[in-house]
Amino acid sequence: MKYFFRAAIVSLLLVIGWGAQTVAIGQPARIQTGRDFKLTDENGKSFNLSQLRGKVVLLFFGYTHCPDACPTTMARLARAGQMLGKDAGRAVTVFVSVDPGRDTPSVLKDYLAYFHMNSIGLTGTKKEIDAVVKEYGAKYEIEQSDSAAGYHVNHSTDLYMLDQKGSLVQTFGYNAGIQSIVDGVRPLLK
Amino acid sequence: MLSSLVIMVALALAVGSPLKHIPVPKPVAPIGAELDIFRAAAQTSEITIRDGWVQEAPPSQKITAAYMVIENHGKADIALKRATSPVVDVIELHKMELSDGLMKMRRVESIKIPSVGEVELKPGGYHLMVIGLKQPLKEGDTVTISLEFNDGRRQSIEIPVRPRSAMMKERE
Repeated sequence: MKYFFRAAIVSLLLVIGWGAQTVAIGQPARIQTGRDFKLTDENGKSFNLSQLRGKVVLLFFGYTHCPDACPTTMARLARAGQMLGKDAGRAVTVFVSVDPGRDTPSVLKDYLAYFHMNSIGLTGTKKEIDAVVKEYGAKYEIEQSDSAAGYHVNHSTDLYMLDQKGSLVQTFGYNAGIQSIVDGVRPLLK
Repeated sequence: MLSSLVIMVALALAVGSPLKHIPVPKPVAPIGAELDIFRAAAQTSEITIRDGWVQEAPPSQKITAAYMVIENHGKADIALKRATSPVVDVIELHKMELSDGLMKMRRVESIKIPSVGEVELKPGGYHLMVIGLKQPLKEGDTVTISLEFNDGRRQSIEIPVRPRSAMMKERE
């Protein structure tokens, strides 16, 4: 009887744990395993996500005029790369701009170079970008403002981790720390 | 009637009497307190600004953010209304908020600092939005920012430029 209760509690915890995992992943149902997309990279060249098969991909939607959340995420990922050491080259950060009006390939190139990390910057037409945003269950909105900095881009700040086959395996919320990102990437590199 | 009045007075005296033995500190007027210059200095010292830094921006970026802790040691709430700096076109007060899954940035009119309290301008919260850098700001540079409060007080600070990564805590 004691064992029965113990087993029941363990299964209950497993169910709860599984449930929490599902919630953390967001809307996984929307993402097709390994589905490709095409955008333009920071060198102005056409770029398919499938070119990154074989690498762990950390995909983030942001914009270069972002003063706070994007530099924070990029700095976290740069640090995570340092912590991965010799394996850093097997994981790549993909920064997808949700501000094609300002983020030209050259702007993206300059922006990413600053963070000294293994990264690719992608931009495209609004239609192309919107399709990718939708696929990942991400979102953004352009908000006109009276700020001297021009319009704001409010955007979701989740970080999507794809394995070497392009499948979404984990989503990190904005408050995920550097260590949890590293801990998420490492098992995939084994 | 008279006796009850006497009792009331006696009671009032009895209750009030212990207070007479508690020394009441007399307000001590500092020498020269009547001079405006001293008053101004005393007021300014009620605000302490610490741990300030300007985020280094990628070279082509014309915007960045500045962060700091503003302490208010005074007895009244104050509010930061305006900030200016010679090295940028404009500084605005902004707040980041994560709502409905979106990281939203909103311009605010002022940032309140409660009496005997502090406000931390930090990533993910309030920041000074530094717009229109006249020259790239690099680690090692210092930036002078003048802060203006709702009661007319002004305070000038010199804060260092630091990369975001350098200011990142381990848990981040």
